[in-house]
Amino acid sequence: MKAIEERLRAGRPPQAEPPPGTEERLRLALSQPRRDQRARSPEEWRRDSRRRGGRLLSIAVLALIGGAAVAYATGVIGGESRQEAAAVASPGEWGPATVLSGGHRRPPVPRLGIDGDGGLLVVWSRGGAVEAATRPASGSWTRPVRLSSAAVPSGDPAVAVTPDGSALAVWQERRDGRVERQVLRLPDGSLAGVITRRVGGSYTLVARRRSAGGAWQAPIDISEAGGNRRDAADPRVVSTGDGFLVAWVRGDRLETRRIGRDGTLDETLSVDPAGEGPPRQLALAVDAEGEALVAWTERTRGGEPAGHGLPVHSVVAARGDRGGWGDPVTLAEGLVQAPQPTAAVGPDGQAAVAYTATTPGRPSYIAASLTFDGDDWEAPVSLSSEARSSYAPNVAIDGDGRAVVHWSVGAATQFSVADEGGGWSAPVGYGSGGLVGQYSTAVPALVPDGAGRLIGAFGQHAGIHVRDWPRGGPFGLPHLVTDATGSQFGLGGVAASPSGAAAVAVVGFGLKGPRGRGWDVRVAVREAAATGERG
Amino acid sequence: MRWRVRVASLGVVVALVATGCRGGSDPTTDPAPPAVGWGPPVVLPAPAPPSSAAVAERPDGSAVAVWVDRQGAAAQVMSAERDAQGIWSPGVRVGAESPTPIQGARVAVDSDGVATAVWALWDRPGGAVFAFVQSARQAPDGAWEEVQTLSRGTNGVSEILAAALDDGRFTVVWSGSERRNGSYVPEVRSATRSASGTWSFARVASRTRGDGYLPPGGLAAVPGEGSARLIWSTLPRPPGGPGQILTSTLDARGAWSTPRAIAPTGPQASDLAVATGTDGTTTAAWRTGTGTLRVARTSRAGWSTPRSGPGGPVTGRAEIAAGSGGEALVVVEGAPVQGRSELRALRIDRSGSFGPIRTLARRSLPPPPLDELRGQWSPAVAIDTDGRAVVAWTASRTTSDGVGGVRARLVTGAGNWGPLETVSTFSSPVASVTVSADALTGGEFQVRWQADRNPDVPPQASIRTN
Repeated sequence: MKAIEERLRAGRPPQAEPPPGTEERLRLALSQPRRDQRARSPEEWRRDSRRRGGRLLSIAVLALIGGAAVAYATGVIGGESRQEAAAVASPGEWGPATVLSGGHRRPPVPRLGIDGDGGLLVVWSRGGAVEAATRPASGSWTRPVRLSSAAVPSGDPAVAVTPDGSALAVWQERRDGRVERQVLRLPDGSLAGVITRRVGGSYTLVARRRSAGGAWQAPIDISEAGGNRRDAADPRVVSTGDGFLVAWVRGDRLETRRIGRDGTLDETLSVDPAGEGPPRQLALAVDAEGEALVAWTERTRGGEPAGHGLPVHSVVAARGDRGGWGDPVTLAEGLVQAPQPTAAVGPDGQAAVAYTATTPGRPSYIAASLTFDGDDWEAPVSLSSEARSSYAPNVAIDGDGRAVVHWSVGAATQFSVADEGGGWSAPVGYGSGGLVGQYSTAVPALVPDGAGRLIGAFGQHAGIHVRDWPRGGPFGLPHLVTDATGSQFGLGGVAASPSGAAAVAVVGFGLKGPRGRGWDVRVAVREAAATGERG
Repeated sequence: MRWRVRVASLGVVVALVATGCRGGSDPTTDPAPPAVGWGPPVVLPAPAPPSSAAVAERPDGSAVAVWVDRQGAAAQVMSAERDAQGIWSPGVRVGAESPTPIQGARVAVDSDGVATAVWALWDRPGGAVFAFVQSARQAPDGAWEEVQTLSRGTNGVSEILAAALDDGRFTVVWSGSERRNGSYVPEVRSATRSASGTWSFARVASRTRGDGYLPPGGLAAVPGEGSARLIWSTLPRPPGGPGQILTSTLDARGAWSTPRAIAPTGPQASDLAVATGTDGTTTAAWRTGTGTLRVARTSRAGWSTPRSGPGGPVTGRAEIAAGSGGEALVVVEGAPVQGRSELRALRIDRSGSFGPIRTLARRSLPPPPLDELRGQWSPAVAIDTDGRAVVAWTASRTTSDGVGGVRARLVTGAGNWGPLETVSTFSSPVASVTVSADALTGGEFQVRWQADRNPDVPPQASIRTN
C-alpha cells in the first residue's frame, strides 16, 4: 500500500489529497486520468487523433513525392518485407466456422496460435487428453491429433506460434496417480453407483514443439514434478523473437522458462512474489526483442484478526528478459474479487496492465496502469464508469505504442485509449451489444497482429463480431464472424497475423460428437489479404 | 496433545484441558467452576464437534454429535459422544474417508440410545452431479457399523433428515432431483429401516409439489403412535408463485400421507424453522415476504392456525427449542431499524399461548454494506425438561473484525427472564463465531462455540451450574 501511495502522491496536489492510506485516497487517484489531470471525451480524443493523422498524412505525401524513387529502390514499397506489406493490407472476409471437436461434456477452452502467414494451430483439452488441429494459410484443417500421452491425464493447455510457423504446446500432466473405485450398493445388493477418483501422483508441465512445416517432436518436461495440482498450474506461453517463453504457477511462486525454436531449454527462473498469497490468473506478454511482462493476481486473507477475514486480491507485475526478472511491483491492493489482469507490451518498451477492480459496496470498474520505462509504473487509472459493473478487460498496444483497453459493461462493450503521454480517453461505447469474455473465463479478445494493428472480438447473443484497429486507431466497423454460437458466451479467443489473416475460436453447443450432444470447438478464419490489394 | 481430567466439587463439572491450546477466547487451563453461573471456557478434545454439528440426545442425558470433517479434497463423517454431565470425548470416524465431498450429516437415537447417522456422499464425474444417501448405525459397544447406501445417485441432495421412531423403526428423508424420463425432477424421498433391520423405500412428495427444503428438525417421531411427522417448505417449479409449507406423516405401515399445506404462506415465505419436543408437539416458524414472523404448532389434535408473532418485522431464520411438555422458545432477530438490531424471544407456554415478545439484547450495526450481514447474533437456544431455557449469542462489537464474546440469558419455566450473563469474553475481536446450546441433566446448560477456519478459537464450551 505504501508503494501505491508513493506513486499516487506523484503528480497530485498535496492539498487535494485525502489522508494517506485511506480508501478515499485510492479512489480519488483511480478516478483521475494521469498527466493532464483531465479525462477527455471521445470527441476530443477523435479530434486529437485526426490532428495526428493529418500530420502523418502530410509527412507521408511529402515522403512519397520526394522519396518515392528511394523507397522503391530500398524495397519498402513493393518489396518483400512481410510486415511493411501487410501494414496496408485490408482485411478479407470471414469464412464459416469449422467444427474441429464436438461432444464435449464441459465447455472447452480452446487456445489459438497463428503464424506470420496466417497458418493456425488450435489446442484444447477433452476428457484428460490434449488435442490439436492445424490449418496452413489458405489451406484446410487437419484432422485433430492427440498431443498428450494416452496413459496420463492431461489438461489446461496453452500454445504459441512464431511468425515462421514454429509452435509450442504446453499442458499439465498428472502422473503415477492411482484410481480409487468405490462401488455403492443398495441394501438389497443392487448397484447404486460407482465413484471413481484418481488420487495421488505428481503434476508436471509438458511441452511439445513443432518446427515450421515439420512434425510434432517428442514431449519434454519443462517443470519439476509436484504433488499438488497448483505445482504446475496456469501455464502461459508466448512466442519470442528466438523461441518461446513459458510461465506457470508452482505453489506459492511463479516460474518461467525459455525454449528455443530448436528445443534448447534455458534454466527455470523464479519471479519473486510481491506478497504471501499464491499467484493466480497469469497474463504474459512479450515484444519482438524478448522483453517480457508477466502480471498476476495474489490472493491473501484480509481483515483482522490476520488470516481470518474475507480474501482480498492484489495485482502484481514484473518485467524481465533472458537474464531474469525484475522486482515485482504491486499495482493494486485490497480488491475483493479476482481482478483477472491482462498484460501487453509495446514496440518501444512501454507496457500496460488492465484489470477489474472491485471494492466493497461499489460496482466493479476497469483500471489500468502503464509504464514507459521498465518497472516505473504509473499509478492505476480508472477507465470505466463506476455507475455499472464492468468486467473482462483486455489490453493491447498497437504499432504506434498506443494502449487500448476494452471491456464489458452489462451486455455491451466499451474501450479506452491511452495517448502518447499516457492519458486515457473517457470510455467509448460501441453503440451495440457485445461481451468480451465468457463470464469469469478470461479469453484473449483484443490482440496485436504483429504488424502494428489490433483486432478486437466481441460476443453477442448467439454471435461474434470483430473490429479492426488500424495502426493509430480507431476501431473500424464491426464484422460479423458468426451468428451461430448457440450461446451468448461463445467467444473463445481471437488471434491475428501480420498477413491480415485472423481467427476466432468459438465455443459452441449443440452438435453431436463422438460422445453425443455437447459443447464443441469451432474456428472461423479470415484469410490474408490478396497480394494485389497491397499498397 | 495430552489430556487430564479434573473432577470438580459437587461432582458435576469435569473439565478437559488441552495443554498448549491457544484461543482468542482465552479458554482456561485450570478451571474452577463457580457455584452458580458460567464456568470457564474449556477447549473440547479434538477432533471436536463444531457448533454446526447435528446433536441427538439420549434418554439418559448423554448425546451424540455428527459432522463432516473436510481435509482438503477429502471428507469424512465424524461423531463424538457427550456424557450427561456435558463432557465431550474426542471424535471418531463414522465411515471411511471419502475423496469426494460429503454433506448434510444428521443423527438420531432410538429409545435404547443407539444412534444412526445419515449423510449425502457427492460425486461429480465429468461435470455431472450425483449424491448418494448413506447411513451407519452404532453397535452396542459404540462402534459404527458398516455404511449402507440408501439411494441411487440423485442429481444432488439438498437436505437430509432422520428420526428414530418409538416402534424401533428409523426413517431417513431427503430432498433431491431424481431422473424421470430423461429429465431431473424434484422429489422428497424416504428410506425406513424396520426394527429387524430391513430397509424399505418410499416417495414422500412428487415433482408436483415443487422444490422442497427440509429444515433442521423438520422430521420427528410422534411418541406413542409409531409414526413420524415431516414438515418442509416448497417452492413451485417453474418458479414465480407462492411457496407452501407442507406436512406429511409416516404411518405404521410405512406409507406417507398425502402432503397437505398447513397454511397459505403467501409469496416469498422463507426461513422455515422447526422443533419438536419429546411429547411430540411441533413448533414451526417462518417469515413472510413482509417480514412477519408466523408460528404454527401441532399436537395430537393436529396443526393450529398460524399466528403472527408480535414485535414487528423480523429477519433471518428463527431458532426454536421445544420442551417436554409443549412449551417452546422462539428466538429471532428483529428487522434492523435505523442501524440498530434487536435479538428477541417469544415464549410459548404449554397451552400454546404466546407470551410477550422479549428483547434480549440490542446492538448497532456497522455502516453499509456490512449491514447485509445483519446482526451476526448467531443465536442458539436450548430448553430443559423443567421448561427452563437458555439463549446464547455472540456478544456485541459487531464489526468487520468480528465479535467480542458470547453472552446468554436464562428464562424460567414460568417465563421470568434473568439478567444478561457473560459466557466468555474474547481478548480481541473474532470473526465467524458460531454458537450452539444444549440442556444438560440437573438443570444445567452447556454453550459451545468456535470460529470457522480459525485454529486460535477451536470448539470450546462452558457449562452453567445452578
